[in-house]
Amino acid sequence: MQGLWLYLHFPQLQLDSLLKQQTQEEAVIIVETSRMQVVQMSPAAYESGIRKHMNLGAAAALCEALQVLPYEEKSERDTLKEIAHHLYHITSDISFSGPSGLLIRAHTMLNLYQGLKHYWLALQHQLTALEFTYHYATGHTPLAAKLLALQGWHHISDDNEKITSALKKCALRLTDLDNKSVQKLNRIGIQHLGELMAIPLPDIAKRFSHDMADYLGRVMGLLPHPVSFYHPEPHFHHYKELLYEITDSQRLLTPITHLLDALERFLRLRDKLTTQICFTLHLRDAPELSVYVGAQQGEYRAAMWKNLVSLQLEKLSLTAPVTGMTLHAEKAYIRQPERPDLFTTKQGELSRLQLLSMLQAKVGENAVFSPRLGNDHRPEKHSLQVNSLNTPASAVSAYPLRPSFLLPHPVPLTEKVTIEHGPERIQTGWWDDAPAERDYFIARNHAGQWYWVFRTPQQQWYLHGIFS
Amino acid sequence: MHSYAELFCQSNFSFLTGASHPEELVEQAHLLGYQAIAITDECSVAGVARAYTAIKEKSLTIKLIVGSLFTLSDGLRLVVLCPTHTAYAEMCRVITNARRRSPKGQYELTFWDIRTFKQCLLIWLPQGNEARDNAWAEQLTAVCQERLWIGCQRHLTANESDYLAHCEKLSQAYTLPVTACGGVLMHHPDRLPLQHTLCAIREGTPVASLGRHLLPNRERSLRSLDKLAHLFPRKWLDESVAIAKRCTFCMSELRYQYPAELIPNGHTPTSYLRQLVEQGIKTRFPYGLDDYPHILPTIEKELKLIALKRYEHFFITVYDIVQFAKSRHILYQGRGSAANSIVCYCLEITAVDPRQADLLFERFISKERDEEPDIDVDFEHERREEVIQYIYQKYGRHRTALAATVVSYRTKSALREVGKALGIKETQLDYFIKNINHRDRDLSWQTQIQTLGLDANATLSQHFTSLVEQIRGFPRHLSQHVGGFVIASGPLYELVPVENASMADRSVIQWDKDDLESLGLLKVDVLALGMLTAIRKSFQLIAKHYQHEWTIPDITRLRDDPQVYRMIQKADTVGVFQIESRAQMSMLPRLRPKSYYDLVIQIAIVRPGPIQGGMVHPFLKNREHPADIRYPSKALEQVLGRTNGVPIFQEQVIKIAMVAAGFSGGEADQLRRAMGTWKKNGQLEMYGEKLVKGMLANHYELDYAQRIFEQIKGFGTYGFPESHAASFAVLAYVSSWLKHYYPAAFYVGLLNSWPMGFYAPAQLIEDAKRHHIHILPICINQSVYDHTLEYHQQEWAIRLGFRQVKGLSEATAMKLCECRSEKGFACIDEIRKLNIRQDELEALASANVFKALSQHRYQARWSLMTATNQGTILSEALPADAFSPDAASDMQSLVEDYQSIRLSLDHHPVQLLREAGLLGRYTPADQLINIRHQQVVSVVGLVTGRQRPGTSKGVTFMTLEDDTGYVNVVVWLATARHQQKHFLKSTIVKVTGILERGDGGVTHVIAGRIEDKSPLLDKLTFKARHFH
Repeated sequence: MQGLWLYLHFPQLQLDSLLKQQTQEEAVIIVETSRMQVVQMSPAAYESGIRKHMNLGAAAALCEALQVLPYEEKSERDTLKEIAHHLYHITSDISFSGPSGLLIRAHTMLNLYQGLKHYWLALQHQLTALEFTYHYATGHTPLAAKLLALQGWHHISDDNEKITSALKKCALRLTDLDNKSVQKLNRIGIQHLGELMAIPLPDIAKRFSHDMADYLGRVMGLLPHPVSFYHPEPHFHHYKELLYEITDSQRLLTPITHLLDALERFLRLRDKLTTQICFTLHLRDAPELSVYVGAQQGEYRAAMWKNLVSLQLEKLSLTAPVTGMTLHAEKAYIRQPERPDLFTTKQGELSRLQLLSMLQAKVGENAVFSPRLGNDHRPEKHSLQVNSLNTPASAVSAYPLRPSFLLPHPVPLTEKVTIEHGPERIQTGWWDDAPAERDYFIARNHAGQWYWVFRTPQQQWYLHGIFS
Repeated sequence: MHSYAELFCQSNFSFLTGASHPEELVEQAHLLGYQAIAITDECSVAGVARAYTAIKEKSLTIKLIVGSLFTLSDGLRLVVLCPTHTAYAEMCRVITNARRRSPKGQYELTFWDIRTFKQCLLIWLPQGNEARDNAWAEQLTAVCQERLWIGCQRHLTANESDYLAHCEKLSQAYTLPVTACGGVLMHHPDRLPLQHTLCAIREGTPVASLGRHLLPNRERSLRSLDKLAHLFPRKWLDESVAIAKRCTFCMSELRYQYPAELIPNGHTPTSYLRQLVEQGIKTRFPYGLDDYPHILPTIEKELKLIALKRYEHFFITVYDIVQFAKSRHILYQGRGSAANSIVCYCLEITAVDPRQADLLFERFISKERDEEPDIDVDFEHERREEVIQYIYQKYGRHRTALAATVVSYRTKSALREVGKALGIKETQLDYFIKNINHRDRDLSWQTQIQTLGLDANATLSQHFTSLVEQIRGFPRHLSQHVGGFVIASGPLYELVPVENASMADRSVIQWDKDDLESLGLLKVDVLALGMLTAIRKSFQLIAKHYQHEWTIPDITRLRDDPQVYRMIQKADTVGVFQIESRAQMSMLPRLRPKSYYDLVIQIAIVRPGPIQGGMVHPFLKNREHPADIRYPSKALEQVLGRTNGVPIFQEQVIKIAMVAAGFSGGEADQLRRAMGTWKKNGQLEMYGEKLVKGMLANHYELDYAQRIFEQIKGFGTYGFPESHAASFAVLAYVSSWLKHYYPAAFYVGLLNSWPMGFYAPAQLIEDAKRHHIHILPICINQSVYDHTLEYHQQEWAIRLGFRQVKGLSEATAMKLCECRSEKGFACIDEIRKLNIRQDELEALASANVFKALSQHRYQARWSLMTATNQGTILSEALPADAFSPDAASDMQSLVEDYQSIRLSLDHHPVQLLREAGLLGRYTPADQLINIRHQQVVSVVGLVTGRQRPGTSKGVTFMTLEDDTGYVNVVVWLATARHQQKHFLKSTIVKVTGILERGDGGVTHVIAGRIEDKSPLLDKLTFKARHFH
């Protein structure tokens, strides 16, 4: 039996996702940044004369209020994955083809949907809801379907003759043949697949590499074309209905433990760790409540998670009784044994990352920082608070003499002091909103303390730090 | 009162480090009352020449010291100062050595080089590291105890007291005197942000991420004497002045010694020059000078002046170079102010016949102005290298080098690099840069950038615009001048440092042409000109096929030919030198040149300068009614008489300043220089005031004075000196003459010299066709590499050569010709066996070169595609093809023609589109003659030219070509702005507008609506093919 394949080509995934968020008709273009060429454009941009492959300069000249965004292949791939995920409910064998195409094995689904027409209706229904621009076509081989979709054939058919005749009209530049070969064919007047197919294979083999014969073979179904299919990502997702409603957050821990045990089994089976889990508490007569718990170091053990969860629960106050809960673990990683340095002495019971997780769970993620030396002449930018996960950078060498105790804000100098060293003049930072212009001195007060003081251009004196 | 001399100061010629122009530094130091200032750029004297010029021009009293900063590979830093001329030569030698052993823009210095300083004063800048500094002190004191100082700087950084103590200690330990020095990078503290930006550009990191790598404060600027007195002990300041006193060398001492070998034994330069000129008179005026009594006295006058100014060597050097060219049959042509002399005509440097243009020769080198003579010589562009190699060979690489060109920041590069330094995204900068219209004179770039979405109020944007403005005109690196050679009698590196150019085997000095001029040094410009190549090739063809021998002077000696001028007046000048551009062509029927001098004016007047200054209309009006011309004074009548009362040449402007506004010779010369650069630094305004005042004092009316100044401003950088126009007019005339009498040879000469000139081969061939010259296609059995003349149907036709085939190398073309037998190739297989690269074979096939051997080009290409895939030996054994491609349709042939030879002999796209009924109603170019003035008309054509002269009104000239001829379209700025999309991108357009017929029958279509018809071409290609 000959197969039937369906190909969906999404020419402007990035733009479509963007336009969905915008209500106004704006001229937007997506530009491929290495060659600065337009790859996608909104209708308004098209109206003003912008076309695909135009360079940025020309495009900008055509439209004054132009919004320019760089092309992001990754975001397109992500969007495509989402689409695949949605379609997976309708059809099972989906394969990714580049960042903007989906290849679907249709013939295996036809029995289920009692025919191509119903099958396509179901898919179409799903696609319409997603609101992405797409081109589609069917073909008897994956490459035939792809080519027809790229050509914008927009027919769903299993009529061999109809497909072949459409295929023959496809422009060679849309095929997967390399540009050079297509150019060469064009230069002898061969523009379309049909004309190429009319040339006997031995004649082609004399002039072109094996790839061309191979491609033609695959398009025509004479050669096999193995396809690997998409499998939905395995996530842990469990719902647990409570036997009775719970109003006290502390008492949630027991049912949670069951869920965590299930998670541990799930992860252990796959030898994976997860860094974040999410509880969704389903409340009676109130919107559901989501609680995220993170472990900086991936974790699978229920006991460890339980510790972290209980810390979170302490902070939680329930507005309505809980009727059920879902545990969802999004990211899972292959477990790698933690291999600390042989010579590092163990500091307490917890590793650095475990400690961080503990602290973050207790006081909130945004309240934990690591101190770090900053690279700036301005003293207030000497020390920085950086996100706790960043490993401490190696100290910047050769700092001038600075006091150990720097006041968070300079205070006016109220005592009499004797200047010992200075001035050190700092006039910098014009580029941001905290320009500094000061003369620093090292001074001593009556009590013999070493002060770090400065004078402003207005001759005002401030204390900024004390040397230990 | 304290006194101080700044001995360590870097200008912006320490690229991306110094943040002030040398001129600013000396002016500021003068203002602050410094005794002296040393410009010590890093391993360079490029900046100090500028400083010297500024001091000279502004008559500042401050003393300038020449020096340089060196950082050795081990980190040792020294400031080297030149007390005497010998010391200067010594430093130039060290800089040259350090530069020559490194790639362009870098230098490398070891302690060994320091040992070779026998005269220079050294200021050592200790680093503060005790061990290393002690080691260096040992080394240095061993080399030069009595010319060595410790240079101590104070920049108010942390722990500075330790450093001062350290310097004191070194001073005592090694008994070395300490001098204060500034390490100056900025003339004013306000330049700090710019200095930070330069640092960021240098490091390729945004300012905000550079942190402590940036200067902490503004102390590295020129500081007041009071402040310095606070910072340094009196003794150290006094020491700086003492050092400055030892430096007596001034750059004005630099004198150029010309190569002596050019003067034969027994001759003085003067007698030798006279001998050469006398010989020249015999060749140039074989029939004697009886009819031209003024010529000999003029020669005498010129020779006297040359002797007075001691310029003999210069003329003899140029003479020697052109003699070489002549001996190699390389065409050349001299131009420039000094070229405007009968001496130069006799020395065969120029071909401007004094009998024909006596008006020109009243001005030569001006005695009253201390201006160096200027002779540029153009050579055939394909053979200039031979001349350059001759110069190198004759004088040796140590005696000759190219002048430098200073590459400076322009708005575009400034926007990009400052933007990057401030952390603005590159895509956004790209967008700004691509959309700022630099020609838009009404809107400044600052305003434009705001409309492009830069938030004017944000602090960052304000910094951005102000920094871009400041950095504009900053030198970025040195590059080589196109052809300005400096030749010396001894090693050049004793005069000026020489460094490597980016081009292999070229070396450049550290000064550009302005510096050379200011220092009174001469250079010889050896330039390349395509038209000379074309003319020589035409001459050769004429000699070969018509057996007529011609040279440029032969043609000019024939005097003005009315038939040639009639052709010029009709603007039938495609391919002709200079007067072939759109703007020139549109002006020809109005100016109607009738004589050589008219051509000189034509060339000078159709330049952005005079057009902008509004000189064209008054000129035409005055020419019509010469009786109505009112000269405000007798003196001005003398200056402006020959150009109908309107200043057209740069020389006239200078003269006006002198006779009407009382400028001295020197001032007028400064004005000339300011005119060239006024857009960069606005110096011209200063002279404007002086000019107007001077003219008022001489009883000229304010209105007239102001108008003259406006005209001077209009000249800007574009003004044309009469001497250049005169030389160009010779070539314009000679090429017109060739076009008129030997059109086929003329076109072939041009085509074989391409790339050059204004038109592409396709347009030249179109023009040839319109002159009823038969064009024969490229043929495997008839063509050679170049285009040739072939006798065809009783006249000379042009046979296109292989050079027109895209992707075919000259070597392969030669091979084809060599392997071709008398009878030519009989079949494609013979060519297949020649072992020619596959892509070249295919290129030939697509160019339809095998027409004689194959059914059609697709077939030829298809059968040649097997050539290398299987190896040549096996190809015999291959089974015959079962498939053969269909022949190309008309449209496909057209596409193939354009793709493979950039032109089509058989079809025109407009014709094919019309035949396919895709164009609607329009008037073909050859029918426009029937359209009334001011009538609405539609025209269609390939856009063959878009030209936007820098005129104020923002007009764009578009040239459309259809199958019957050309149409000139004028697009006004407003229309262009409105219809930008069709205007910018299209290759075929339909323009609907109003036909205007001006004086002399110039026809323009003033564009109203522009429609892009380019997509139709695709349609045609697709339509041409049917599917089965």
